[in-house]
Amino acid sequence: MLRAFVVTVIPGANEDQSDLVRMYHDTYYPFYPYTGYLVYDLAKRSRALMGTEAFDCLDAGQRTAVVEAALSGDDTTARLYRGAMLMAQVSFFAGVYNPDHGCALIDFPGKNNGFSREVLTYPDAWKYLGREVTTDGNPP
Amino acid sequence: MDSIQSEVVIIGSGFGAGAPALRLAQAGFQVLVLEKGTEIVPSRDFQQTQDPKYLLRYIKSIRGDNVNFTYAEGLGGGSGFYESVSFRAPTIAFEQMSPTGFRLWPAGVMRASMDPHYETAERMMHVSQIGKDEIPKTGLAFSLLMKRLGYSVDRAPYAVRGCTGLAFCVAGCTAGAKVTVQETYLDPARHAGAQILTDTEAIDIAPLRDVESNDHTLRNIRSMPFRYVVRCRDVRTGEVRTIMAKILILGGGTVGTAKLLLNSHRWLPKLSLHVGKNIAVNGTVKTLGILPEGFIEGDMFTGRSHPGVISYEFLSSRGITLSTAKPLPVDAVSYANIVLAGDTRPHPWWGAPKVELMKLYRRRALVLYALGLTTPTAELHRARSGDVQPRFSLDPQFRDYYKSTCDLLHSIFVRNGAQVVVIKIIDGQGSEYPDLHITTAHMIGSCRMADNVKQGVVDVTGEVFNYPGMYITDGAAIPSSLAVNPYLTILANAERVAEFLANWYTRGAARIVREQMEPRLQVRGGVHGSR
Repeated sequence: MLRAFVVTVIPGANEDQSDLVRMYHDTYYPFYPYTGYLVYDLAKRSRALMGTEAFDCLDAGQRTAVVEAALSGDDTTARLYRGAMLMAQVSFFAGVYNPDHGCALIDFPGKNNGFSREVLTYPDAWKYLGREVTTDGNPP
Repeated sequence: MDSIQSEVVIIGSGFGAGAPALRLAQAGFQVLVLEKGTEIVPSRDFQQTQDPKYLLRYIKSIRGDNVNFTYAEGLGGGSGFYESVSFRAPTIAFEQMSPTGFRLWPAGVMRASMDPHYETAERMMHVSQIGKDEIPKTGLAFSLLMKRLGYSVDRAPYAVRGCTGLAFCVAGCTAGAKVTVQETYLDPARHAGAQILTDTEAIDIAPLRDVESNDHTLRNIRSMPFRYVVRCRDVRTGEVRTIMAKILILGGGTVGTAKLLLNSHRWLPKLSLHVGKNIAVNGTVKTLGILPEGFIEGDMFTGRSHPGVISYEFLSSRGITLSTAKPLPVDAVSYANIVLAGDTRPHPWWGAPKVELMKLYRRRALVLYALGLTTPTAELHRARSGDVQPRFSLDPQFRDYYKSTCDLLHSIFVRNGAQVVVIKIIDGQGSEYPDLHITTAHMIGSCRMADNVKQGVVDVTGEVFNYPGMYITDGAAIPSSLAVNPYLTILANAERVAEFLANWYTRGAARIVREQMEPRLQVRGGVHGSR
């Protein structure tokens, strides 16, 4: 259920990625006590809107509709979902549990040993530099 | 309760504390540094990760309705996690006036008089201007945006040696390229005899005796009585101890120093009413855009995080400097909901629209941000628990500044054919703040320098009004926005005060030549001025 939620929030995320939903079970984060309620609400809302509690069996459009309905709901539910979506995005895009590999979807390399000059800058940097008004970079 | 005595006690270990620790240890004084955070060994402790568990070990923040203050805790303070960019404050920063018509900086302190101390700080931090062939791609993209509009761009100076572009500057440099206070001040201070206690939080301060009477004449540290007692707690064990000082220097940062004094108020009743007030947020305004097709690409994920450049084009006319930044993904997604302007899809801040935007982020996104000479109006308020919370009044003047600066930054994007990205700042739970919300690590001035106790907390020598022998040498003492990153000014001011202290106090051996002290005494209006 949580995996289906994450790939709804982040289309293109690999549903089979091992650490995809790890943040929801990590007791370090204040969201942890609410994870069960998120799963319960997803099931309940799926049944109400789509006739089945199996949120993870819905297609992408249906899942999106379920999440949108929650965001448009009462303040408490909306806050729960916004928090859950923030958790998904931080965990996935920042490669929190995969620092060596970052996030391939956005070409974030993660941990590295430095980069060559060709990667870091352009060889014809002078073309892009404009007029300088100081001698040492400090303001007058 | 365990008790320690030291001639000089310094609270904090960052940019404001390192200089007095080193200079006074070198002058032969007994120096003890107390740091709330943990010992940091960069090669062992720094990591290239976006894991909040690691980042939040060192990076702390306090939240208010309209403002977040971010700061570092750990040996060396912010120097482990700063972007290394090293600017002197502009002359006009020192000329700012308060809303009630007095000059914010005390008499005698101006850019010209600070320049020798800036020079010292730059030498200590190995500051040098970045070369044209070292500017990261994002810096070159910023430069081209500005060049096409006829605006100037200068190369910035940095406290960096041998940068290999890891891009994790603000998580701590694992390559050791970033120059830190630990390396340049604290290690040499230890070598000169200073002791440093980490994991030691100062709880409060009390005077040991009536310190108002003849204390201004006390200069011989050997014969001087102990004047202050600091109650401290070991943050690992909870054990409480007291530490007695003849000279007490507060260098725990804008938040730390104000919090300590606010929590000590019942023992320090003659503290200025300005403690915790007049905090400048340095006019931080951040915007985001997507560079047009065919424009040179930036790269958010390689190279130093402050990408090499700054523009002073609008410093005289608007009091702002412009630059760019390279937030890594954790900051990009946890700081704000970002949506392309004009995106009318039903949920543009998540789902497919967000993924599309994040795919563009590395090479096509560009941050434009301004720092400005905004009036210091933020405050820290003490809760019953002893914690402090920031408050920032979004007065019409600030709102006008924010809007006009945002409009300028957006126009730079639009005139270059770039797309503006709408930024809605979110709280720690993903909900958007209803109004403007400023996040800054540049807050300064919570115990500002001034000419008298009615205008500030410390005098021009950093000494706390009404409490001789207690000094503030960190960002809390800096009385105005600077329109540039503040660390070098904090460090230069700390060097200025440390130089004074090392000459003012004696160990009873050498005779101080009065003429050498004359300029400082004149600035103070005599021995200790009129208060």
